[in-house]
Amino acid sequence: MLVLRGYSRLAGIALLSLGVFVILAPFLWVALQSFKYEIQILQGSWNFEPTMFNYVDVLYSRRSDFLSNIWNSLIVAGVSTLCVLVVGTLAAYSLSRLAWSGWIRNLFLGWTLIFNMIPPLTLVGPWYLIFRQIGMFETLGSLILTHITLHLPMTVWMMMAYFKELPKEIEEAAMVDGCRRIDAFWRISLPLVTPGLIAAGVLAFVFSWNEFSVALNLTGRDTATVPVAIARFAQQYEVQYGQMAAASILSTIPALLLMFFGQRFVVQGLTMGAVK
Amino acid sequence: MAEVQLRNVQKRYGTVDVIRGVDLTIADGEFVVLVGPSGCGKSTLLRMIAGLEEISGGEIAIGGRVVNDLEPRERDIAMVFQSYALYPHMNVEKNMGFSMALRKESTDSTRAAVEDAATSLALKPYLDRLPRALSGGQRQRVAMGRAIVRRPKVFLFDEPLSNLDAQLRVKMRTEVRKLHQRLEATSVYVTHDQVEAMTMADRIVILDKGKIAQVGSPLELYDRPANRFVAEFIGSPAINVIPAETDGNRAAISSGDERFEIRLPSAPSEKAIDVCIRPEHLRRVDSGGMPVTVQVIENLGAETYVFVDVDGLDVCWRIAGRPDVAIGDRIRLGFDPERVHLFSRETGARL
Amino acid sequence: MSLSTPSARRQGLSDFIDRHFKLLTLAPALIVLVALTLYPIANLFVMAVSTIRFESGGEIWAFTPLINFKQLLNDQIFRIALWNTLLFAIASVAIEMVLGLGLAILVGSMTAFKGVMRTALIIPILMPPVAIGSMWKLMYSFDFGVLNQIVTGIGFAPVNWTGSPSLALWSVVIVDVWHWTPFVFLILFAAVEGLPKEVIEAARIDGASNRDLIFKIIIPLMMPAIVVALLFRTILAFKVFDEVFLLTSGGPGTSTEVVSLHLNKVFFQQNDLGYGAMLSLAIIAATIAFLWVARSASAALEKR
Repeated sequence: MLVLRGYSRLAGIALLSLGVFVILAPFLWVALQSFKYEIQILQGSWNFEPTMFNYVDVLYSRRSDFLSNIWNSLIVAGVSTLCVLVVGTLAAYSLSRLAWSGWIRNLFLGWTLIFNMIPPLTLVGPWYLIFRQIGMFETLGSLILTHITLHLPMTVWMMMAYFKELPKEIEEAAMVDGCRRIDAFWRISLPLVTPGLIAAGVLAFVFSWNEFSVALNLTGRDTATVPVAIARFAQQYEVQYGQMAAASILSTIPALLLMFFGQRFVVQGLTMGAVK
Repeated sequence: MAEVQLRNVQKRYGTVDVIRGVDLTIADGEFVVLVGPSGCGKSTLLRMIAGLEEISGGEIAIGGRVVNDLEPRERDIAMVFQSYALYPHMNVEKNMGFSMALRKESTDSTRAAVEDAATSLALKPYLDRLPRALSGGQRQRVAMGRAIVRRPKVFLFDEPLSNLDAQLRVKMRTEVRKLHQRLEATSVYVTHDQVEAMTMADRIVILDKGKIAQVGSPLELYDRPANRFVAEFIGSPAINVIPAETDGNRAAISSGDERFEIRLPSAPSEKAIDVCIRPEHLRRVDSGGMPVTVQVIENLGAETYVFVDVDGLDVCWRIAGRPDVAIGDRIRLGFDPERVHLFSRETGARL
Repeated sequence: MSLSTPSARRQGLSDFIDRHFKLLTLAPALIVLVALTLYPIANLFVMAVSTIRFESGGEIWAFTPLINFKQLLNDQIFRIALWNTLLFAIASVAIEMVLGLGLAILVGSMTAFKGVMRTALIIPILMPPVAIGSMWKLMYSFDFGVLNQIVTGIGFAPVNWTGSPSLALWSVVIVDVWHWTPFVFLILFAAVEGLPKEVIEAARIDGASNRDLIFKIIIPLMMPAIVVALLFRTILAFKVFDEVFLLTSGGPGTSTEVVSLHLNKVFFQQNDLGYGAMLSLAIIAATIAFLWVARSASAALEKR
């Protein structure tokens, strides 16, 4: 790569430090606000006694459903991630290994590409009507189904990239050794794409946890997820800034956990899905 | 063990014919090498025997049973792949014992079989290592061990040595041969390397563009190639091909300004022919023969290749020991007419 | 030693699955796609030629084939939303690409920093966009936001970040740049790490300066990754919703009204499902047209 010496090296380091600061500072500043009383936020004070008031209020006050929002989000993200991994991995294996004719493959992949490009809100209208008709409106089940659909294209593409990295000969050797197709998939290929399963699972979970536009319109008071709840804090007649900050920070916890424990897989997943 | 029969076997990809009617019987316990240039269809043919490629036409039978519609696992074969195709998530022991585990054989008999194979391949110290912790040669041996433990009717080898370095390759050639002598299993071995074919095979099958060019023992192929393709493919350095016009039992070759004639053992039926002579069958003569100019001298120590120019053609002359010529010398080369091979220019068939 | 006959082994559920493995593995995904994307789109066609009202808990459908279409042609707000979305997408993607590429090359040239950068950059990518929106809503606050604290601190008048019609869209662009530059960086940095070292060393021996290296070697070699990042970001930029919804809800006036926001309003605030469906179809058609043009363009480029 470039060779940076002397001043240009210092300038480079300064620029990168600025970059890291710009990324982290807003997060830290808002975290700071979440430990202030409303009045201190409005005064913009920097000297204050930190308080847990906002967190306690968001989590435990009778006005707030945030604990049940978190629970809803965990259910939706957990179940939809599991389902999309199963459905997506099977489809990815089928398309990359099982000799589908070209036009079926292209039709499938082409449609998932188009579907991934259109705003989800274009389909929320019919989803709303369909779920009303079959009596699933404002249930967690309906949100889970839509999240499976939304994250299926990403999962299929990522898993296909991982399956393509496996040499064909390994499965062929297994079949010569006495495996049926299903054994070769289950005992050989699937264990070998575990990193892909983790990466795809992590991303599907985070994207489902974060998803807002569909959840906003397909959930009710009992089934609202975390993003919907945060939006309510911001949209109320009198914005509760402290609670909004606290809820936002709380909603970032899964992302922070994954940043520390699953970083390798997240980076691999994001770049692999994009580059392949 | 089993005999393998191929009857008019064909393979088409769309409109492209890859295998164009191959008939071959491989005897029980025989070691047959399929050899040919890349793209000749040798790997495809092997994979068809394995059941990894569909058969477009004809029949393949293993041990008298037609296997066209059987899955690879039902054909009772073992295969060693060029890339070894070891299971990366299993240790050496699990890799080698996988086929027995699939057959639900007892762990004791599996372990016994694996240890047996590992001992014969000097793999015992590595049984609990993963493939990625092994050297290339060790991986290759694990792949062979896996095939042995499978105890198949037929061993299939798909260029198993081509990923090894030159020294190891020579060593493993003898190892594979020894293995075959011990197991006496029918073996089909694919390679693009004619030296491997010559040194290892009971019989060699030379494939050219999806058809068998010749089948025979290594020396049969070397001494009596059935056509120009086989003559050129077998032997290193390659046989010299000299175009000539015939007149009775004389063939005329023009070299630069000079025209000279060579006497043939018989009178060919065609006018345009190729006269082929192996490099070691040329010798220096004082008169007659071909006038040539020495261009390049390659000293290999025990022997020497002298490349000379005949009518713009490169001709190789192989001498035991050291040469007494220098670059630029004009000399004459002759040969014993009994030693030449004559092929039709048009069809390449032996005359 | 030899296997038992195959016919005797073909029994049981797992053998049934094995025989139909190809179909059974793809079927779940096909069912999901048909039931939850194709069928709803078929619904859109029916809805688009209807007027749907809600009365006493039920829907009342009326067949009004042209009303929604006429409304689409006369929808001024949709036109503004399209224009805003386009402006937003071009500006934010352009800035993100330049920043992301610069950072990727810079970090690639550093010996330290790689880990720190990657860790820090994952936060914006994985944070809920809604949380990002509310974060910046706090920071943009006219009275107490940290940005205005800085602005007034260095002696300027406070800025009305999200309340001024001329500035609001650019404030949204800033948030988007904060949110997505890390993603662009990650993709391009992976490409930087994959660059062939020898080529760059050869260029340096040939006498290339850093500037030559960047513009004549590195960027041309990274072109495939750059195109991928560009496409990804463009697609996502056109779908923008969450942050805008939180920050401005399209205001002030229509100055940050974007396509998804308009769609949401028609569907769920005006409860006009018929016209919403017509809008959706128009957006889907435009997406497919865009994809087709992009494909033809890239095919034409490759031929050249």
